[in-house]
Amino acid sequence: MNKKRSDIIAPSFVLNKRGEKVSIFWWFVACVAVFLTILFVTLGFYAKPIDVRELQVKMNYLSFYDCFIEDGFLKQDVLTDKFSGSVCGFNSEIMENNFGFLQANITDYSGKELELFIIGDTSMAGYCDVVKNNTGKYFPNCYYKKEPFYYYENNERKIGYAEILSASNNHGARVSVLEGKNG
Amino acid sequence: MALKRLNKRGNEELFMPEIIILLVSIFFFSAMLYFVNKNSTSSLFYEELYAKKIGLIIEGSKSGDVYKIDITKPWEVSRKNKMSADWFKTNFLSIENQAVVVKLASKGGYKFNYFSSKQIESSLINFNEGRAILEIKIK
Repeated sequence: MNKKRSDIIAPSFVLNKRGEKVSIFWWFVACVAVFLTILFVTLGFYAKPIDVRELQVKMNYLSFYDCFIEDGFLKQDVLTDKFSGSVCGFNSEIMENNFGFLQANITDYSGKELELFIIGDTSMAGYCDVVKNNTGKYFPNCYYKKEPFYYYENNERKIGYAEILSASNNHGARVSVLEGKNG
Repeated sequence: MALKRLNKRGNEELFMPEIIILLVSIFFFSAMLYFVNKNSTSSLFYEELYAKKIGLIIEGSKSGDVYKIDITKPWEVSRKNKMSADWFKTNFLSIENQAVVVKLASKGGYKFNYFSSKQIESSLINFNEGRAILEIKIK
């Protein structure tokens, strides 16, 4: 088979195992397509923020729940003036600045509010209502649960409910490269 | 042999298009492997991962708890960034105003706030048999 000079300098095809002509152009396109696919999948995986908000809201929910209820009973001091939601070990200022929110609505059996505790960024409560129908990545992660408990009133054992809402939109942040050149 | 063809006189000669394709393929796939490797061992990824991991550990901890966390992988990444063991021991973890800050290179880092008021009593990094272990004690 005589090869043209132009084919030797700039070949326009190669032969596959069956002797068929395969265009170099399409081979090049396939290579670029594979490369771009790997590029975007890798970038998509590693550039995507690691989302731990769901874990954080559940952990905070449990800590907040434990703050009010012990062995199924409302802690004795919860309904007194001495008790404050801030003693549950959460830092309200940090939560406000980092989009964290906790709310516990302590009610009696009929739903009458006995106490309401709120810590953190209160705007989260409104977003959590929206989140029920939307799962956009800019919305906070919310966890809501209504748990029954026993409590004593005038030496009579009664049933109440703790409606706890835990929300977080805390993503963390990269430290600027201009900060802390202590290497 | 795939790379050699016979010419009219019956001598073997290199088939140029195949060599070009081979070289370009090697270039493409090397670039891909390099890119994937660079990203998977990037300090950006591990700084974020460990800042959040340690932040959540503190968030869910109780007073007096002691945690041992294997930080061999971030230590390897830090070594790739030409950081010494002493630098790593001093700078890998810092707590600033209820935020965990993890650094694997002299510049940058990742900061993750935890909401509880828990404090770290001590944090210590030990190197043992090629592994790096971070020990955290909660106050």
